[in-house]
Parts: sequence; C-alpha cells; structure tokens
Amino acid sequence: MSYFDAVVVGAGPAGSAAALQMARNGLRVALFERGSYPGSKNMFGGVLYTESTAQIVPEFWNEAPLERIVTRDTLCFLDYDSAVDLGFTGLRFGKAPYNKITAMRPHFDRWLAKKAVEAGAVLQTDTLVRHLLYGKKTMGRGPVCGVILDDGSKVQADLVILAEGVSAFLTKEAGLVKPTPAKQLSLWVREVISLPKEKIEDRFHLENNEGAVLAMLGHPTTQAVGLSGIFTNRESISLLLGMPVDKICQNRLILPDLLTRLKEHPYVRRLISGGKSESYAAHLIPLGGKSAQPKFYADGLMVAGDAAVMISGRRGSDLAMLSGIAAADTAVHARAKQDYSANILKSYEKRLAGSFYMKNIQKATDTVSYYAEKSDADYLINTTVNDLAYEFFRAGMDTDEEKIAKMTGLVLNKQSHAKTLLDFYVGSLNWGVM
Amino acid sequence: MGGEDYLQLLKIIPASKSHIIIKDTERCKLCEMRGCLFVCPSAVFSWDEELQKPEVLWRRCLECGACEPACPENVEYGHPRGGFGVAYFL
Repeated sequence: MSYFDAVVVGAGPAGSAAALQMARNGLRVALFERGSYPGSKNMFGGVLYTESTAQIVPEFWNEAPLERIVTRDTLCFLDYDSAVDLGFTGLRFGKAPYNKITAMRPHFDRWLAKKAVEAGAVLQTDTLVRHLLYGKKTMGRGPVCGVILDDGSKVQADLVILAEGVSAFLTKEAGLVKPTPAKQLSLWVREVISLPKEKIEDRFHLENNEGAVLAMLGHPTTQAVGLSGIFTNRESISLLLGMPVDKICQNRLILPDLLTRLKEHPYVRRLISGGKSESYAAHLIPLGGKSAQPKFYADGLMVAGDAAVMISGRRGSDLAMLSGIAAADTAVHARAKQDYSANILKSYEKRLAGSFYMKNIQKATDTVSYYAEKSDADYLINTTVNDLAYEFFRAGMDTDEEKIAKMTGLVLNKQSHAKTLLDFYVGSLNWGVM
Repeated sequence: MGGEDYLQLLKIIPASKSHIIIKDTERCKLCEMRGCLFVCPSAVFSWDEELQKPEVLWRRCLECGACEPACPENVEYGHPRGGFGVAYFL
C-alpha cells in the first residue's frame, strides 16, 4: 500500500490547483486522473478568467497554452429570422493583465497538472478512483484515510480532496450530497469548427490575437429554456448549446439536432461558413446554487470544483481552481496541526464563505425554480426584443406616436408590463453573462 | 448532424464491458417519457422494436452522465475503467 499526505481525485482545474498548492507547501500529493491525460474528459466553452486564474499561477498567460485574448463580448437574442445583439469591445482587456482568454481544456488542464507535477505532486493517469477508503471505528465508518483504485489497489492518505467533477460519485458515496435531479443539471454539447485565422478576425472584427465571446439565447431553443455560445480560438471557433436535462426530456429535444439547427441560423451560418467540423463533446454543468451544494468536508475529506457545485453565472473552471486552493490551504493547516478531522477541516467552509464566489452563490436568486415555473420567460423576452427591434428600425410611414403605440402594443399583447420586467431581470441573472 | 454523425469526430477507446446499466428492462416497456432516447448526446440508447427492449451502445458514450438524471429509476451510469472511453483532444 502506498502512502501520501493527500490524494486528489481528478486532475481537472480544481484537482490540479489543489495538488499544486499542497505540493508547493511540501505535502506529498498523489493526483489521480481517470483519463489518459488531464483534460481528456473535460470540456468548456470557454474562457479562463485572468484575475482569478492568476491567483493560482501568476502571469500564467506567459506560459500556459491559450487561444485568444477576449476583447469582444456580445449577448445575442436570436429569433428565427432576426437577431438583436448587445456587444462591447473593450480594448483595455487586450492588454495585460487581460480579462478573459479562450482556451482548450485538453491543452490547459494538461499544463496545469504539469505545474503540479513540477511542484512535486505525483500524477497518475488512466486511473479511476472507485471508492473512498475508510478507517476503522467502533461504530460506523471511521475517517476517510485514502482511496481504492479501479484495479482494486489501495492508496493510503491522511486526506482526500474530491475534485471529481459534476458526476460527483464519491461525494455522493460519502453521503455529502444526494443524487442530483435532472432540473439541477444542464447538458451542453460543443462542436469545434476550424476556420483560417484571417476569416475569424474578419468575421468577429478582431485584430492580431484578439478574441470574441458570444452568448446567444432564443433560437433554436425557444420552445424550452436554453443557451448557446461561440468562443473564438486561434484557428477555430467553439459552438455550444446547453439546456437543463429535465427540459430536454420534457420537450423531447435532441441537442445535437438543435446544434445543427443553430448552425443553419443565418446569424450563425455567416460566422461559421466554410468551416470544418473538427471535434464534438458533451458535458454536464451543475445548476442550482446554494441549495444544490454538498457538505464540503468530513473527517479526512474535502470537496472542490464542480463536485462541490462551485458555479456562479458563467464562472466554473476558475471557481474550481480557487476552491481547490482553499481546500489545499486547509490541508496545509491540518497537516501543521496533524489533525485531519472534520473539526479542523471545517475551516475550509469558512475560507469558502469569505470568498467572492460563495457570497455570490449565496445571494443568487433561485433561477432553477423560476424557470421551472416560468419556462416561457426566455421565449417571451426573446421574441419581444426582436419584435420591438423590427418595429424600432422599420422605416415606415407612421407618426412617431403611432410608432410608439405599436411598440408598446407589442409588449403588452404578449404579457403584462410587470412580468416582462421581472422576466428580463431574472433572465439577465440567469443568462450568466458575467 | 445527429449524435451518431458526430462520432466520426471523436477518439474513443471502449473498455471491455459496459459502464451503463439498465436495471430492469421490463420497466422500459411501460415508459412514456423515454428520456434516455432524447438526452444522450451520442445516441447510446435506442429502442429495439422487435425484441421490445432498450439497446445500449455504450461504446460510443461520451461520459457526460446525463442518462442517469434523465432516468434515475432505471439507469445506472458509472465511469468506464481508467484510460478507456472518450479522449478529447480539442
């Protein structure tokens, strides 16, 4: 039986960040990854948020494998034959320390895990952690004292940090959380479409290695709540579509078919025309905020990242890293005290509580139940916004008063004023444009 | 493109046995929602009309895990053995 101070389950952002931080502090860390390389089973849009990621590795943009530096952010309401977009170009974000940078997970995750290895962590890939190892106690289970791998071998450790991702098998096995219901999970599919660098820069109005991020709602998911997005990489774009699992089932939708429809929408078609499909992926994102989060610790155990539902708006991978660091700092403290009991590890929860992301998660309105009750909200906002835009920009032969009356009528005919404003407000929180 | 068509863009090394279990295939006959048939992004699940039972093409699984919450009563999803299954490269 091999022995480590700490075992980290999962070499994704949370796991590698935790392993890196613990190794930096002299702990002997084993980092287990079920894929053949870190990032091989991960997918996001997506972007790295520089301010938070720099907390893990300062000025990481000088060494990490990254795609484009985002200077353009757009929110787009797609209707079947129109689109209303609200965009921002912030050139300041094109200069260090930047703001968001697009990346590919099989490249970035691999690099971050390598940083952990350079700091002294032991990375073992192709290894699935099947179960937690419990110590003996007179009654019931003792503290977690290691893990059992899929080949049956046992690895002993004073502490286990679960960074196993959204499926959170071990978190559930440890009794820290109940199985996640379908309404608290969003399924996303992503296609990477290659395009020459010049075409990307032309179509998205970029220079050099600038990047753009587009968040879209409406078509083709108008019958149900859903979001889509485009992220520009150096020589490809990532096109994504996501929807809560319960809505997928209730509405009998097939996401890859919706992705095809999205590609055919005139707004999107122009952006990807001539591109070549390079890869496809699918991944779940946990929803639900505070009430969906597990208990974060137990004797000899902590949970970080998606397994701990560290999600706020569009932020997830950076919060995974930050929570991994918080868990690691707690581990270092526990080691100094030679006490890995829940009594000491509860300081992990305190560290989390003091963070900006936990405070946001605590405050976030319960969008899951809002959409459960009002699944027509996105549809109504989207069609209203597009209908208004058509009327606003139409150069007709009405008086100004007639025009205003037409526009007001458009809104009132669909639903009440108050509900529109409420829908818009909750919608803006839910679209996670941050 | 349907989920099946996207498979050509993927690198998957299937393990030697299935990591997705349908607990009671008899129950599927009575299922109205058939969530599994819609939710899976790579069309792992299909219904065999002749044999009146679900077919699970686990070798093409992308390990998203959506099948279990779509049918918590009857689907048991577990990750395949380490080193097997999908390997994303982008």
